[in-house]
Amino acid sequence: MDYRRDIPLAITFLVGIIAVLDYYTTFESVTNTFTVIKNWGVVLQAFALGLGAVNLFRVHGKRVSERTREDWMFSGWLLLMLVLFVVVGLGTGQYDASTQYAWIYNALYMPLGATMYSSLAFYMAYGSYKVLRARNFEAALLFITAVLVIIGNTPIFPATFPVFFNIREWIFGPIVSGAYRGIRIGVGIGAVVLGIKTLVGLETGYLGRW
Amino acid sequence: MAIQMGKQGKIKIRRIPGLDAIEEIVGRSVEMGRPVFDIVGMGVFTDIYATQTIAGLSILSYVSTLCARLGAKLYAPQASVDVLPVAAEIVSESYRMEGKLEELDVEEQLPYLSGTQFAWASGIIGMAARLRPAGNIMIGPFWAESMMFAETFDRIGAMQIGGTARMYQIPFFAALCDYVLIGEEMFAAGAYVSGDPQQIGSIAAQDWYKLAALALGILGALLATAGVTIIGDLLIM
Amino acid sequence: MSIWEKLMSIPREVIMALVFIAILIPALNPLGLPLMVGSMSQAWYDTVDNMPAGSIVLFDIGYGSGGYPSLGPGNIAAFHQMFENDLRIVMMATDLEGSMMYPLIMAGVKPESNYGAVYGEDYVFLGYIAGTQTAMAGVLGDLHALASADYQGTSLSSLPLAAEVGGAEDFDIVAYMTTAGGTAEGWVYQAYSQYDRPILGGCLSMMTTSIKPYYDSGQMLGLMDGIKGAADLEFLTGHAGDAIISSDILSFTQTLVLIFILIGNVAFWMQKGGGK
Repeated sequence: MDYRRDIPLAITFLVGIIAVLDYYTTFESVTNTFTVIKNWGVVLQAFALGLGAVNLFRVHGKRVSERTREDWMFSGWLLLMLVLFVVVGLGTGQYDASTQYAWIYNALYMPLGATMYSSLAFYMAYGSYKVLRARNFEAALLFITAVLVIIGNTPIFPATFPVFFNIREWIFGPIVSGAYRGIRIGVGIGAVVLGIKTLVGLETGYLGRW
Repeated sequence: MAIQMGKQGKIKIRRIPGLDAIEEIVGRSVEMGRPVFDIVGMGVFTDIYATQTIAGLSILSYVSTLCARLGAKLYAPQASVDVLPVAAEIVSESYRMEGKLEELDVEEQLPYLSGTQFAWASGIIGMAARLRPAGNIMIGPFWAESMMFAETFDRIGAMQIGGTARMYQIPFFAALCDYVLIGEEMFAAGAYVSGDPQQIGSIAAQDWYKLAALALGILGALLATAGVTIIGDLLIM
Repeated sequence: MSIWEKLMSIPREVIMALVFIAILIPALNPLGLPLMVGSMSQAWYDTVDNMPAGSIVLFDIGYGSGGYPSLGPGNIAAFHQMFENDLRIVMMATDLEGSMMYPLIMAGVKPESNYGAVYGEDYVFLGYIAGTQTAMAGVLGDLHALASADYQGTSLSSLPLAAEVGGAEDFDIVAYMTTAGGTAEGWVYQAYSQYDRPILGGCLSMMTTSIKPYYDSGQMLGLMDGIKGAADLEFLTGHAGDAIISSDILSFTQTLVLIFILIGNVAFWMQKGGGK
């Protein structure tokens, strides 16, 4: 018996079976057991969160103390911000509901998050230019469809020529929805089969045994 | 039934170029003296994308084994605190089995960047710009950062494999990656790279279910057109 | 390098610079370009408009700082319409940053001063509830078993609106705005499939192709698709804001992207033809 493989597989099977039974049955003992397991999961996640913070302090603290890397000051900034948010949140006693926490969140984090998301516009613009080339028949189909959808999505074109809106709706309807549903069915089946394989111990890649 | 047939060697599946290319990517990285990135996404084990995370970890196991064997430096930045210890254990185990554990620095090569999307994304983009990897393997659940990663790694000349079952992001990988795994191909990844006949059989089972779904869909559509909704009513029950 | 080869390989810095200019011009000087209200946003508006006064809405703020530029303006417009129609709103957040969006949205809506709304009677915010679908199932199953206090720690039993609602049967409609596909689809599974509650959804434009099938099949009554949908809602509700300005930006930038795509293709075919 390979205990390093068999014990984790047995635990996976046991917990998985309880989860499946909880979904399909209404036995109180199963529900109570699964609730306990879910609570253990919450506790594990809480400890893992601490692990993440420890990891950050170890890695970036080392960079600040050694100062051999060019970007060591950014590690210092990261640690400073980490401590600041925690101190402000816990210190006011109101966590993220405090006005002070809201202020530093809106002043520091919010603009950064919005900027990163907005930078997608630039990535997409360049990606569209580079990729949408009618090199062959399939690429030409993609090119024509993409151009029609972009025109339909640009507010000024449908407002001026409503036919573009109808074209876009037609592409989104039978074509895109149909293709999407096909892929979705495949993904759903694949996920179920992977779940069953994980449950019965056929899939062991997550244990480091591919 | 499929697993039994797989054991008897009766199941053959088509090549999945994206998975065959993993060895090519690692080899390329060794030749160029540049690292390999393997990004398993931002998923956790408790959301609906857990199966994609597990598929990504299966590939991480394979990639880390190849990197240890061939001598490529692997980076696998992490976004989830519950996936981090599992990923670290997987990579450590791979290096240990290849007898190269002393070459692995878990804190440097599997750093925890952040649990929030764009902090993690900007961390990876920064690492890519500094380390200039020769290869990038992204298999797992990805969100909006997929486009950023694909474009950034493309710009620095990395060969890329992208795979996700999150429908919104597949087009971005398809546009910019050299190889792409669409939807359920990534769930077959672990079985495919292992080459285990039993697991190959399970991929066949996946395809049989899909054929059954296709047949039901066609039959249901024809019957519904004729005004008979029995298939739909049965499935709703 | 021929002109066609140069046009096929325009540096990314040039493209990004031009996109930046295309964003800047309408942002600094809104042009009021025409827009056509989409059918899905119109459906959202009509659904809310037809709800009787006093109806209770369960609203999920399922996005954070990254989604706020797209969904925030639409959220504000939606709340304006709901408060105007005397609907009562039980708000929650399935996104970790959703509770940080709440004060920003309320600062834009100002329900007390604009509509005479009273917190606790006309609207209440439960705060972030972890677990996505677990949270949805909990709120719809038995709200008071899941949450005992609101965002600020006030007991739900002391808030009349919160005390009145127990579960799904007390909500007349479920609405959400989210950047997460799992949340968008989760509400369909939990609210529509389990409890037959009507649903209104708001999501990013890139998610529309995935979420629209639920609208087409009738599982959702309205869908606000990204910044364009938000602009539609602002236009319909008469509360012009950032989304309508953004629709000008959208017109400029997407037209520019179209031009680049066409340039790339013309250059490709001219270069290919010249090489024969």
